[in-house]
Amino acid sequence: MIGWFPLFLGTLALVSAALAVTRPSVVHGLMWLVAALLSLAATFFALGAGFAGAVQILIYAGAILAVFVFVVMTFDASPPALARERLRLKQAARWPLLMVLALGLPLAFGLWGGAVATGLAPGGRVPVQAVGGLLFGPWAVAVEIASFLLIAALLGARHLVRRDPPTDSERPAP
Amino acid sequence: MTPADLTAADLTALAPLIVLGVAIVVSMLLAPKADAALVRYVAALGPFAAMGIAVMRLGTPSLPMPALLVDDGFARLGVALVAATGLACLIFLRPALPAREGPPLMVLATLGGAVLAMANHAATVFLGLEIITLSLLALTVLPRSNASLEAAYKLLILGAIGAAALLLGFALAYAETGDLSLRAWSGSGMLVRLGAALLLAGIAFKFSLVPFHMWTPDLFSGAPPAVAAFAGVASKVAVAVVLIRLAAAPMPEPVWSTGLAAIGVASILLGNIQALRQPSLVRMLGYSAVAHSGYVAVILASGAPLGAEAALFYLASYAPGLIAAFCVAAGMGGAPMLDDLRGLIWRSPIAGAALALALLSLAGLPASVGFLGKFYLFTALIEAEAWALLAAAAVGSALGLYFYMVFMVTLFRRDDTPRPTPQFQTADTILLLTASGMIAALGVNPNPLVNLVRLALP
Repeated sequence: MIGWFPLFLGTLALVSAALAVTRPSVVHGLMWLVAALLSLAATFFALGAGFAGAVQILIYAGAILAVFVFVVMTFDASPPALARERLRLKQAARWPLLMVLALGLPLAFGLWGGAVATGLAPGGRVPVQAVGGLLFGPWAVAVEIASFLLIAALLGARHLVRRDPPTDSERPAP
Repeated sequence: MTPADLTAADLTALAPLIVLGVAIVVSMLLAPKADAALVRYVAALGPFAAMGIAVMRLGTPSLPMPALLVDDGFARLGVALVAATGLACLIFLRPALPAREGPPLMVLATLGGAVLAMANHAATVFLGLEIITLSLLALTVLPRSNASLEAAYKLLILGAIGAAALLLGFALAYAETGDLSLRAWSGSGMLVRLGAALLLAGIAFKFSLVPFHMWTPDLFSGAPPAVAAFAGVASKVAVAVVLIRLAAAPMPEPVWSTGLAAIGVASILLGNIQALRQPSLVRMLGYSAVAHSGYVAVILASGAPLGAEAALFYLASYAPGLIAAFCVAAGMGGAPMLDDLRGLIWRSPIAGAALALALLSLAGLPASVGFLGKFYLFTALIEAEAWALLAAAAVGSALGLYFYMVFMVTLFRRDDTPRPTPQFQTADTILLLTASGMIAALGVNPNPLVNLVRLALP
């Protein structure tokens, strides 16, 4: 087994994530999201994947949360808006809850079933060198392919943020 | 491996990805300043070269590939079909100028399909799927109309759920086997089975199978027709190659086959029933695309020895019909209704005849290549003695016959109301003539296509 500490942190992450989606106030939800992301990062550290943990903090808890904070400034947080949000949550909670339960079952089974044999070496530590060696060694082609994923995102974003619809002086296509 | 370690064999095997990548980068850099037609020509060189390389290498022995990718017959046929579709869709991609990003994005989607066809590892499967989804998403919002935004939102959110299910599936299998390659599923523990179920759900999203098909009709009616054609043909070919590889893994049974058969049958029935009363050509094609995915799914679920060949032939035979139908839709403003099509064959003989042939092929009637696809479907199911699946496929085909014929008959009805004539550019007309020629010629003599598909089999 992997020990109680990662399990405790994982549970913390799960509870914070549940609270993040059920808070009616978006600021509270965001705070719980930070808690969830940080406890997830701590789980990674506890499991020996320090690099994944650092990336989790830098990118998710850092960069992405900063974008969220900018968006939050445009939201309505008055009491009537909160009441409306509470009502919506109550109406819409059923299916997501069911889905979480369905996904949680295998995890619970993995924890308490005991009979599950895993092919993973427990307690191994993955140093940054190993990750880098993999990414810039045998997986180099996959890294190159991933760069095209970024190009796709970049082109899509460039198209979406263009404000003025350009003039339609399109010449006949080939 | 550093670049210096890449051997000539590696470069040969990677050549389709390299030419697509170069075409993407060059056309992307040209897009803001250069002439729109030039950008499109440069972009088209990528899929054209990739298709040529893949077809030429069909039947040659497999080369060793860098990790995560594989170079075999399925990969080459998959790349060839994806690149051919990408090239065809590039021709009638509209609107071209307001969105100069269009051509590079279409080549990006082609690259994603090619990666998927070569993938033999969870990482490359995920990368390929995400490249396709992201570029289709951006292509969908090219017109920035309300319908296209709605379609894009559905694709974005449902696609994200599908990707999450896929990743969770891979993670559960990894927890048990400690391996992320597509051969890792041979374990039989509980985690591998649950992982397989989640993987199936994730793939069903991308393959637009019921109940994960909700985005398909909206995408087909909201996105530019070229994008819908790409989603309907190329991404399905690529995902079908992944499904064939997974079936060879082998997947934990009975989860995999039963699940695939169940959602396949549901897709055939629901897709065809919902297509029955659609007054819009593209929405009808959207629902019928769900049904066509269902046919491919039941072929692969039946476990027939002919399965891989039949599934690939089915997708290849259905491609020219769908592309021609969408090209006509693009010429008629994107989303023609049944009434707009009335008497089309008298107003615009080439477009009318091409659409008629396309509908004939999609319905699977004789003298069109679609008939051979249906023939393969039924042969595979009979060979596997999968009678329930065969019954579902037969009922679905009969229903399909009805709604395709409604549109077909409308094309020939004369009336006196003046209606707009569709606008086609020269390249569109050439594409329509090529697709119609393929439908008719391969319908009479399917041997070239059969031989092509057989070259891909191990």
